[in-house]
Amino acid sequence: MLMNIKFILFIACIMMFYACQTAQIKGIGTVDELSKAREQENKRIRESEEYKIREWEEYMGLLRDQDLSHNTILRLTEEYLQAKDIVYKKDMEEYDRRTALYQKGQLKELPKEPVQDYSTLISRFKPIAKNYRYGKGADAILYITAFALYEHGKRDEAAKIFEEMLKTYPYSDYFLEVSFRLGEFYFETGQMGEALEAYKKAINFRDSLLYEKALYKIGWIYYKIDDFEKSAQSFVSVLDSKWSQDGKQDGLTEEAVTSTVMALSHFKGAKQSIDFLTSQGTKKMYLPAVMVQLGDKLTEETRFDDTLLVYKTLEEWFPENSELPVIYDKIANLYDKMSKENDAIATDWLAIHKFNPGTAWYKKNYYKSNYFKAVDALLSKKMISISKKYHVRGKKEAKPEYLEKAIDGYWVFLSSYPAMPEAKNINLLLAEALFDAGKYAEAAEEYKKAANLYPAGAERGDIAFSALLTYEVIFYQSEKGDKEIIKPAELLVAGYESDLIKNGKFENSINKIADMYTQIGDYDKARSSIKLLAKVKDPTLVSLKTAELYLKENNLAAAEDLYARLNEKQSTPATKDALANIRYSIAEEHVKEERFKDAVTKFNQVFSTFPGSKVGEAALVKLGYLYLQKKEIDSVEDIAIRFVKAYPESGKTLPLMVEAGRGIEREEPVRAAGLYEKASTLTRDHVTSTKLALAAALLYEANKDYQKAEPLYKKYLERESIPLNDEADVRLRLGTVQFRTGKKKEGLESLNMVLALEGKVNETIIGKARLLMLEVKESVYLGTKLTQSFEETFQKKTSLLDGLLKDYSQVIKYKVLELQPEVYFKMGTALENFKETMIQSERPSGMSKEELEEYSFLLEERAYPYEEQSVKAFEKGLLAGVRNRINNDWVDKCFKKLASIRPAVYKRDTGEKGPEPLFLRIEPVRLEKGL
Amino acid sequence: MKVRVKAYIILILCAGCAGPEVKPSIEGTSSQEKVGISDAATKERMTKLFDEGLRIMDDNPKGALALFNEILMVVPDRWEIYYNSGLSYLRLNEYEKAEERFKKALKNNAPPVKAYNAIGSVYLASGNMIKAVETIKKSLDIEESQTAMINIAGAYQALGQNDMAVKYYRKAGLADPSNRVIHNNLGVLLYNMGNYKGALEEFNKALDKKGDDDARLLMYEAQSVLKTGDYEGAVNTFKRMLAVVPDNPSPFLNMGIIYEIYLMDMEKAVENFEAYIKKGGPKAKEVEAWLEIARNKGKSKEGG
Repeated sequence: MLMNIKFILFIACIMMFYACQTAQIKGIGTVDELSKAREQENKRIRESEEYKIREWEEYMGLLRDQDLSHNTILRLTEEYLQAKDIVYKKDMEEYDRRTALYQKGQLKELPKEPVQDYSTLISRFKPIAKNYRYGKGADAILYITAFALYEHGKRDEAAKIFEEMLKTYPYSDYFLEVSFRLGEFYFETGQMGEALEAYKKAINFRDSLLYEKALYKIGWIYYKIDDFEKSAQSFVSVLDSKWSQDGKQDGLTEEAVTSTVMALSHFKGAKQSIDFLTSQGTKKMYLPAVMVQLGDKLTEETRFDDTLLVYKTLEEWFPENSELPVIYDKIANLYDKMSKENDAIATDWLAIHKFNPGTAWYKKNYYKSNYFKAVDALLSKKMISISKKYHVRGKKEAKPEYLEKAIDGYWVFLSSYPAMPEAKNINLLLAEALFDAGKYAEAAEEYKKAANLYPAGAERGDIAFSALLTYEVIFYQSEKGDKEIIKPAELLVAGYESDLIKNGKFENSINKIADMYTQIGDYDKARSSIKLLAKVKDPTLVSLKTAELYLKENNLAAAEDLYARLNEKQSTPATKDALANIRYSIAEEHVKEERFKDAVTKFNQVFSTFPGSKVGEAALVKLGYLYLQKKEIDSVEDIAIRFVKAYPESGKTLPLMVEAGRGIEREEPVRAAGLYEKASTLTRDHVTSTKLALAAALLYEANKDYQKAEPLYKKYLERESIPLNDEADVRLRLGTVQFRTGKKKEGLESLNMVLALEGKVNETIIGKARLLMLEVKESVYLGTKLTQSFEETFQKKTSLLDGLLKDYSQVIKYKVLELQPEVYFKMGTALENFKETMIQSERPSGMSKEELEEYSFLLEERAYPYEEQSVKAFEKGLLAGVRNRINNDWVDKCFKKLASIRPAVYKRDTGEKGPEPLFLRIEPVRLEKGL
Repeated sequence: MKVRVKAYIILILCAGCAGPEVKPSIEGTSSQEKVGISDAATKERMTKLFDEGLRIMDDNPKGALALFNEILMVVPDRWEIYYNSGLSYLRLNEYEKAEERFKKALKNNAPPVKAYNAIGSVYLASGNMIKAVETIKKSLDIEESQTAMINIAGAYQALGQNDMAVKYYRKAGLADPSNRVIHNNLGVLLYNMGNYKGALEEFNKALDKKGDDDARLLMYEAQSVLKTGDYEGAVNTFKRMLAVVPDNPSPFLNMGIIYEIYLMDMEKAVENFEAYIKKGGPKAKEVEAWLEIARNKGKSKEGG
């Protein structure tokens, strides 16, 4: 009987707990063979339990007629209640399943929720309870009755029975449950005072299952009457009693935590809450849970400062608590909400250092593997995000301290979570941070490590290339270029060759290796590196690169050889140009070293390599100037001809020709004139062309090459807007050369054009023109002989002489000093001629010897004054020269005439020869060897 | 000893002008067997004769020739002896013999450059410029020595082929820009072309380097200055010439003429003619007549 009662009590308690819980909706099972089997099993169980229910009903049906045993009633009622419960559960399961089907649209009608029906029990037990009040088991029957009424919804009636039971049966085994039930009733009906009283009775039974529940309810009563401290205290008492050491808390405990938090949240401030909790003892195991939830609650209420205090106190009390990473995360988020970004970052920073797998904290807590998956996820995420933040800031703000933190953060991640999928990316970021921080050696190593974590392919190639770039930086930062750096760089490229080929950076990598070797002057190694390019590049291009290295090495000979071979294989403008340029450089070297012949050969080779090119043009120019330097004018002219043929539009021959002309003008004026003449045809600039033509003409004229001078003077005169004096001068010269070449008519025309400018141009020019024109008269005069009849011809010649002398006097009046010796000479010549003509004149016929002698004597006497005048004229010519410091041919001629006519006075011969060239004497030799 | 050393030094210096030496042929060795200089005494004597010939050559080419001929009696196949004896004939103006000896030297393995230069010199001295050019060209084909280039230029100049002369003077000038002879000869070339200013430039360049023939160069310079109409300048140049060769009467003669004819300063003309006569100039008799005329001119000038 006692066993039965206890069992019934146990069942009742279970059922009451069930009543406090909300019904849980179970998940719907799948419709398959397994669920069919389950269905069948359920059906079997149901039928079995329904049988028990029917059995009880049948037995209790007998109550009307028989006096039934109370033990049997209680025993059967136990089974009945059990069966009712099971069937109810099955009904609830079915209900849930059908509801799910309805929600899917597979059922038309919403199923009805099953209701536990105790009406039969109530109807059977009520009379029993009424009549059986004092016997054994009477309190059980009364309790069951009240329980059934309560569950059936007749709570008032049930409450009355419960109250009665407390009074009637104060020592009943049901006292605790009844007190609790009453407490529940009062609580639900808002009768807090009564509820409190009832619950307090329940808490006298510390060992009871309902003890904590009662405390919990008391906590809520205090909460509802705003006595939050007592409320918190009650809840905390529940925790003190029920808190499980293994960390697995039941529902009530969990709710007690929540409730404690709710109560504490109503304290004035977090400090008060902390003080309260402190008073409970800071080593209580539930405190972390409470404080975490309290923090969350305060956060919801935006009481951030309070939250921070709670979290920090939590850490202070429980430095080893496994929730701390989450707490730190929450703190960091709080700081973010408070716009305290730096504090947030600092918090995360602390978190990753305090709680990472390397820490004692982690080692202590890691056994909580499921939870720690979340912690690892959280920490790893933090490590990544915080490190990246520092990395970005460090780069952006150029602050090394941030970069150091980023590096540290990446290290922490890698040492903590080397197996995580993010590890390879973080390794790469670490390498980049090291690079950004200028720690290149470490960066290179990390790039390599990172590369090893990636599968073969372009991405790995990119990382390998970054490593190479790092080596490159190290190399160029070292003072003289460190050969030791190149080796690992080379190995790197070799090791990741296929990856670098895939990402298209192989060529660049090889070039960098080659450049480094070039930098330290190891061209052989540089060339060896370049050879590897054949794997990705056309061998021709590789040869080109090799040739470029020879150039850098200043090994022009080798570069030339290579380019020549390349050119032979595949002659393109580019190869020709390169080869020509190398040859040009070699030629310049020869020039520098004064190897003239070699330089000439090479410059010629440059031109023949790429005729028509700019470098070919430059080579010809150089050749021209080389020859000019050596005064090999013939060769200069040859070059000019070649130049004009190859580069008809180029104006570069012109200065060459002009300079060549200037260089030889003194010793070879006619040849210089030829060069100027040629140069004048090489330019389209009319002004320059005519200038050169004039320069040539002047030289031709000075050297009596009048035929060549004439057309050039004419060319000059074709120019537009010539200054008047220049025009007159050139026309005078044109007239002169025309006279000298026998073109008298044209000459006179030219000279008349000059005379037409009298008064507008220099008198010298006019004077010269007049003098020149007088040559015609002079010629006529000189040609006039004195024949019979003497008087007639004499008069004619006299008239011509007078006219000529008058004209010469006119010229003298121009006061052109340089003309005076010539004019006086001509005057003297005319006078001398008159004298000679007289003496040589035809003698009249029929004269005797004596008469002829007499005639001749008289002629001489008459002629002598003319000689005297001619001498005076010559003397004037000589004097004019001396006075005006002119010693031209005319002065010389005057002198020679005077020496001839008046030898005693003027013939002065020193007997000395003029300047003569010297020859070098050859010298004797010594014996080459002994006799 | 000192004299001999000096001679050696001069010879060494001259050897540089003579061009590169050719190594002696093997035949030289066998010649000893042929001629029979077996004894050291004869060897020594011949060598001494040779050295003596070198020493006296400049002042006594005849004596030197005799010595070389003597050596040739004993040693008939050494080119050096033929060469030096040819040189002696040349200094004695015996051109045919000189040519013959130089040709023998060539046959006896004289360096062709030297031999051709020497033969060329014979033609130069004898005035056969065309042959001189032909021969010196052969030397130049082997080696472009300074001597050969200057001599062939001079030959061309004498032939009136100024362009060829200039070409070789330029080439020679490139190797030795301050060479006196080149400047002298270019000056002469320009003088003959009527480019007296250019001639002056060259004579001045030659004079920049002091030498034994400064007086000659000053004469040329003075002549060039005169041609430009700078009579006072010409007088000053003759005075500079006097400073170099104070006993030379020629400057006085030239100054006298300039004063008399051009500057019409009879007093100075008389002074210089007198100085010339005093110095014993070769035309003293003729100058005496000029002196008289100058005095008369001076008197008539004074008289108005």
